Amino acid sequence: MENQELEKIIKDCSKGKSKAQELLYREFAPKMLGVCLRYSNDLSEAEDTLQDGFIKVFQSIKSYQFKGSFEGWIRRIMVNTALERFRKSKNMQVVDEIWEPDPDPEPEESIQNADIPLDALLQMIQGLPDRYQMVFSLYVLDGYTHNEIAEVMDITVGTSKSNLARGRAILKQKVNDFLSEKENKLKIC
Amino acid sequence: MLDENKHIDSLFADGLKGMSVEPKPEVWNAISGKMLAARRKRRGVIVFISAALAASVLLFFGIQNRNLFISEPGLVPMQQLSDQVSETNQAKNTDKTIETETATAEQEEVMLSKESVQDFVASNELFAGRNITKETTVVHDNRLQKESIMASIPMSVGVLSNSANTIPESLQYIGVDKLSVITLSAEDLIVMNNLMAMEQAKKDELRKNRWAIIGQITSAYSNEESAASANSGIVSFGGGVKVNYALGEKLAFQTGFMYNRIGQDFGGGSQNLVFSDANALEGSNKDEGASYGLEVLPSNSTAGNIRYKNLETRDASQAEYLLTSNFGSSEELMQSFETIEVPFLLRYSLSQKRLGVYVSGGFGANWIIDNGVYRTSGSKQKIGEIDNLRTTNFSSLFGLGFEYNLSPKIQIGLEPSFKYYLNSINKSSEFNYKPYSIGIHTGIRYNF
Repeated sequence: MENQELEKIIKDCSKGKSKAQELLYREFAPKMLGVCLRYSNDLSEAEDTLQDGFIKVFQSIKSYQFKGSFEGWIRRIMVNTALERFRKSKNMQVVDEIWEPDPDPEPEESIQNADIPLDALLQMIQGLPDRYQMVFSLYVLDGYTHNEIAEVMDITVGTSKSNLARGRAILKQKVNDFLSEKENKLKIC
Repeated sequence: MLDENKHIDSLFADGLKGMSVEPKPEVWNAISGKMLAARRKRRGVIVFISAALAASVLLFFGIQNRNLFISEPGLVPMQQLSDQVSETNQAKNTDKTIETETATAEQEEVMLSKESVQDFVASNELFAGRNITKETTVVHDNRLQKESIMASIPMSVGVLSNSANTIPESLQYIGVDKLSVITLSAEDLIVMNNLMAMEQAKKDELRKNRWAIIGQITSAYSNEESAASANSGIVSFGGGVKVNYALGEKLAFQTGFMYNRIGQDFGGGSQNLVFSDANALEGSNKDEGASYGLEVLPSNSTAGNIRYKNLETRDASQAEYLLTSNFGSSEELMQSFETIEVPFLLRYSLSQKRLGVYVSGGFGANWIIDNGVYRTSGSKQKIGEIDNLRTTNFSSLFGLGFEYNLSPKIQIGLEPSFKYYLNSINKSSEFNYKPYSIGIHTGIRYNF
């Protein structure tokens, strides 16, 4: 979509025109559902987040100043919506954790060249404990710093780092398990 | 370790960062449905505020042009006012209908919002399936359609229910002819069961919110139907408490206690006078008659004879010399009657959305608890009262009200209303005083 066209759609959306809202949704919904999926446990939950997120987008689109990427602006709203839902549903009880590095890390070669399908990667993230999933997605996939994560999740920076490290460790294990299983299947064949 | 972390991060980041997944069409339907509901809510608030402003303007206009009410004993101006109100309301209703139709056309395929699905599922656990609730909601939105479906359901339908589609005993038709079994599809049964469950839910809801208490304050303009041109009405404030009892889905009965004040300003004239010793009144303004050492006051108002208190008065109403004299009363006087009213009202809801519209009508029993004639030139001073009043009087009441739901339990409301006394409040046949008042009730309602 060209910038001028997008700008017109945004302006029409801020006037409450439903046709423009639908066009905007059609343009960004697939990407944003991809974002929501990383913060949800399944597709249904992600679609709920997407729905709430787009309603917020339409309600607050007047406040968009046409500075910076519009996609980034929507993405931020989706992430915040996901965090809100997480806070509400989980009633998060965070305990500060101190991460001790794994003394015997797995060899990295296999992971580096791993060919893992998207749905498997997504399932691995969705299979993480909720707070590890949140911290990992925020840090690795959406580029939040530990300070920002600490602020939005109302935890300490140390807890954020610890959760990230634990999340990574679990994911590493899952990746290795997946690769071993794949290798075994190939051998059987 | 650091490198390894980078690898695992990039493995997921490369894969998932640009991921796109096409959402189900239901998601957009739900979003557009919610946006539409929000727009309707905004429109509702605008209509409510407009109605409030229109009612205030009408009352203001009425007060400012009260001569219109007096010159043609109340009938023509009231007719005009009534026409204006009716036209305004018709215009608003037409607008609203057009808006609704447009919105409906735009949203033909709008799916249920999540909340409404959940609400329904909660009230009908037997049929929690998504398809079923969707179908039912379409019917729910269209009352006519629903009624026609209900009318088409045969009386023997209770026989066809199995354990999975059990109709509650209370809902089964009495006197079912078990022999005339008509085959219905499973879908029809489900629809029918849903409809019955919805009706039951509505009845339960009605039973739950049958009683309500309403606190109101009123500002009203009152005058009298046959008031002479020299008289003009007064604006007063009142208020009280009403209890609302729902007789049905739309019909309710209301009663309570309301405090009101009615009356009129009067004065002047050169007939039916009494003379009093001007010096007997402290701080009184002396008029023309006072040059003779006397104060000239009217002997009666349109409501009845005035009994002056603390004044030595001499009746000059029959004095022939007054016709050729310059005597006249220039006093500004006001009569007012304070009443406690017990209204008996029937209220019919025209719309029961977030902004509800209703009409109400009935009659009221009014007890006069205070009656006074006041001198209003200078500081207000009670100088007498109207004689021979009937303590209990009856009035007719009409109103058009608007109610805005703040929550399921609490509503705020605004109700322009008209009240007209059915009997003369003076016992004497010499006087036929039937006051009326145009007022605006504002208040808060609590359902319990």
